Amino acid sequence: MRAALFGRFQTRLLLLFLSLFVLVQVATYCAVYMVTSRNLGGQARQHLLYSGETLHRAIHDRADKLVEGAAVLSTDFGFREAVATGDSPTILSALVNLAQRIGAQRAMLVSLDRQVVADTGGLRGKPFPLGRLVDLADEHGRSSAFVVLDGALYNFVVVPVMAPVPIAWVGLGTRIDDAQAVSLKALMPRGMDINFVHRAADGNWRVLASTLPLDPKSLDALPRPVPGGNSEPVTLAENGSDYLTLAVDLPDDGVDQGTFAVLRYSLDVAFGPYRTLVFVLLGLLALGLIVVAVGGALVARTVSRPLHRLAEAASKVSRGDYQPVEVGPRRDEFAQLSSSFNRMVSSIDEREKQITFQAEHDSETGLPNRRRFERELEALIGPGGAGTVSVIVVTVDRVNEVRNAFGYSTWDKLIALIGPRLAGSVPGERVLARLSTVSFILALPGCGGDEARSAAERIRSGFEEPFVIDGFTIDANAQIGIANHPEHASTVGGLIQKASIGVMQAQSSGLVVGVYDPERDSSTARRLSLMGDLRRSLANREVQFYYQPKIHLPSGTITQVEALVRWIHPELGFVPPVEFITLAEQTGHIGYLTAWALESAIRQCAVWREMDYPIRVAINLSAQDLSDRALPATVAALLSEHDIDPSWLVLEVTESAVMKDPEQAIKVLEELNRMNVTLSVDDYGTGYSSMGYLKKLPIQELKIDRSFVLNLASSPQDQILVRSTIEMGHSLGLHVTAEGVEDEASAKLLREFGCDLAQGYYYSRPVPVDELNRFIEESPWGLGRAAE
Amino acid sequence: MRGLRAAPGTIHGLLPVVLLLGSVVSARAAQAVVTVTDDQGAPIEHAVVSLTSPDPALNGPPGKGAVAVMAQQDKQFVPHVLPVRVGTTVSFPNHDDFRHQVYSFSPAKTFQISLYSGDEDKREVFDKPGVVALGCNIHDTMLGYIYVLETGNFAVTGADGVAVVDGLQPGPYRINVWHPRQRAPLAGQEVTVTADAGVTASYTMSLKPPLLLGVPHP
Repeated sequence: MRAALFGRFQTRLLLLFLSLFVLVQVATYCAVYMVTSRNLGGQARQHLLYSGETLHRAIHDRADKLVEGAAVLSTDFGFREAVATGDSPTILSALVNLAQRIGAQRAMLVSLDRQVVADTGGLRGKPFPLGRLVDLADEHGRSSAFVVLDGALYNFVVVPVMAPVPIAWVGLGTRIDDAQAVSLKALMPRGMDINFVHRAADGNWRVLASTLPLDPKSLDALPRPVPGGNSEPVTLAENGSDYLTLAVDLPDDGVDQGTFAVLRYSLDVAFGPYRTLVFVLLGLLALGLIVVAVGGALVARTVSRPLHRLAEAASKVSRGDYQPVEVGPRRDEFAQLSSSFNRMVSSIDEREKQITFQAEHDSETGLPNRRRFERELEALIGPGGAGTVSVIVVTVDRVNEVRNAFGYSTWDKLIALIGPRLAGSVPGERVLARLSTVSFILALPGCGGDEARSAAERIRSGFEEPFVIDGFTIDANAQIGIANHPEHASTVGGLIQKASIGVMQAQSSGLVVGVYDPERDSSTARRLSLMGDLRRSLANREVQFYYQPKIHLPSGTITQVEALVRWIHPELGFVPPVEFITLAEQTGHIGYLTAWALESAIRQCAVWREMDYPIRVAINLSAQDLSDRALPATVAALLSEHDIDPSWLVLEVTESAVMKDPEQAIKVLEELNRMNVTLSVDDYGTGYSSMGYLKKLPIQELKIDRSFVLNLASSPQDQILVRSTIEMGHSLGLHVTAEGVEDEASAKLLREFGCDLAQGYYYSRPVPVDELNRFIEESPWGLGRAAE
Repeated sequence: MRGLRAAPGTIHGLLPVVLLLGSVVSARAAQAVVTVTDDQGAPIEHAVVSLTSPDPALNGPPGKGAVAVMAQQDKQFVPHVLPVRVGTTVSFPNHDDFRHQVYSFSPAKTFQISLYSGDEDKREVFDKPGVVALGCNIHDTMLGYIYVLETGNFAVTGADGVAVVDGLQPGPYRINVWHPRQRAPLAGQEVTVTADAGVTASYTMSLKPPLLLGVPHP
């Protein structure tokens, strides 16, 4: 199709060349034709008229010769005497002699009364037959005419025999036959022919002498000549050829005026030079056509070939093949076009690569994005892939805290630094990509579970070194989830999902690295149905608070309990709080849980007030609760409903929950503080323990995270940390609580450090309310009524 | 159809205007005065005017014994036209210093005078009426006429075209006018001459162009 199009263009160009050439040639031909035919036509006419004059002159000359010859006789005294005496034999012999001498074919003597006295023909004794020829001679002293005598044409002259006045007339005639015509023709230009014709009284033409046969019928079309002159030249056809024809009047005998000469000039001859010219022009035309055709084809090819190359290159570009087109050595428009085309192609290529890169890469880290990762993972797990593949998801912890504490640009820089650090932790063959705002993902081809785990460990230890950004030293933690192909999933989506679940499982287990555990994660469907079950379970009391006592160390009495939610699912059994609380936060169900928690805790508090148990009840608030502006009002309504002083209620918040939206959270906390609700910071020491924020927060209590307390007895560092934290808390006017106290030594140390409250398995694990009541009654840690 | 150009002249010639005037002069003799002109009214020279009477007595003395002269001078016949009465002898004296050979093939008198010079007296008798054209065998341009008449009453027009015939006795005559180059003869005119009255007449005639003798026409 395209080739045909170019073929057509090439043909059109060639046709244009050819038609221009033919046009010029035809114009030239026309000009040559006009000039030449006018010239040659004029020339032919000139030749004809000139030949007419020549004929007249020749006729005259011949008549003069005859007259001279006759005059010799007519003035001869002996002849005159013979004439005067009527000596017929003598006269005849003299006439014969004269005719022979001057080459005349007819001679006669005519008496004054117009009788033929002697004749070399047979007219003796008869009246003179040639009209008024004698009268004309009498008038002018001589006469001459072309006459038809005995069926033949004669140039006839009559002169008087003077003695000394005319006493008789001598007539002399030369016969005009074909030979004579040929001798006249010899005087004229080539191509001229002469016919002598006579029109008889009956109107029929007779051709009497010719140099070229002539059809008498064609003579009817011939205009009559003016007397003594010519006709207008006309063109007559004869035997398929054209002749420019002229009728020449011949002198007549005064009576019969039917004798003419017809001069014909062959136009074939006249236009002979022109025909040669035409052949030359035609030859030039043919030669020129060949030259133009070949040259035009070459030119058309030089035009169409680069176009063809460009079209092919363009079609390659449309298929995604960005080959540059060959520019060629010339510096013409095609080269410019080709160069521009190449520039265009390369910029398209570059832009496409950029777009592809942007489409498959993350702009903050420059790492491949999830889409790209999925594609590569697909290749790895597909047929001909790596076989076993491990997928590792790394989720950066406390993202919002960093963002809020240091700003978005610092976060961007942090995330940009994490990419290379991950890459450095897992060298070799692997695919590293950004999975989401807070997650990275790696695929390790040909890797089994153990190698994945060691890779994860390397990643974890990679995070141990803090990141330095704009002079700040920032600690970043990460949770790591692992899923293996084909062990855990056989699809890309499945692997990513399972690795992400691995992260959550690590979180829920309080670990950094979690290999996906199918036992703990039966399915996403289960988790979704879990949320559906949550509300029902809340109503059915399947969700309950377990309470863990907090021991007031100076007095050794129980002054506080932390309410911890426990969900015993009728079918699933124990559901880890981390799992469903996280789920509830993610799915927007946390509001129901919070409302239930506040209501349950305050009601239980009321129950204990009724029982005269002086126990404060602490519950945990999530980040979402802190962004709820209506929370203080809800709390106040519940407190007043159960007639509980707000100081009996302790609300625990984690630093990270506050840091998600500090402004809003502080507003809510301040309002609660004004209501005289006790506020406590949970998990202190694991987050970004910013002293600045700590100072801003309207809190009364600080809870040191269990990770510092668990091994307190055996870890001098933890002892220093805990001790200094307690001192710092006290200096800020806060009560300090230690979580995770599991042995007596630790309890003792904490008491020495001046810690206010302690909580842990050493005292009691979280227990249902009945068990707690029994514990209060039976354990060595009684109620501190007396203390208060 | 002969001589178209001569036709009007012929008409004039055939209808001459003749004015008869009262005869004058002496009782014994009278004059005829005749004027000859051409179509354009130009006078014609060398025209012979003759008056012939049916009465022989009125035609003058007989020609026999009379002698007329036709001389050759400067390669010309002098006079150009010589009227004579029948029987007159004409002398041909040669006044040139070279010879002439005078001849005539005219039916009225055919003769030839072989080469002669001036001191030889050559004579011929013209005894038949008619026109005798004279030529010279040596000089083709020489042409003369002797007009032989039956009467002695004749005269030749001069350069003024007028001829005067004298000595006419009273009686009836027929006037004839002839010219060697006339296209057609004029018809005779009958007149009567009285003793005291002459005759005056005018004639118009048409002439052929002069012959260019000895030279073919161009």
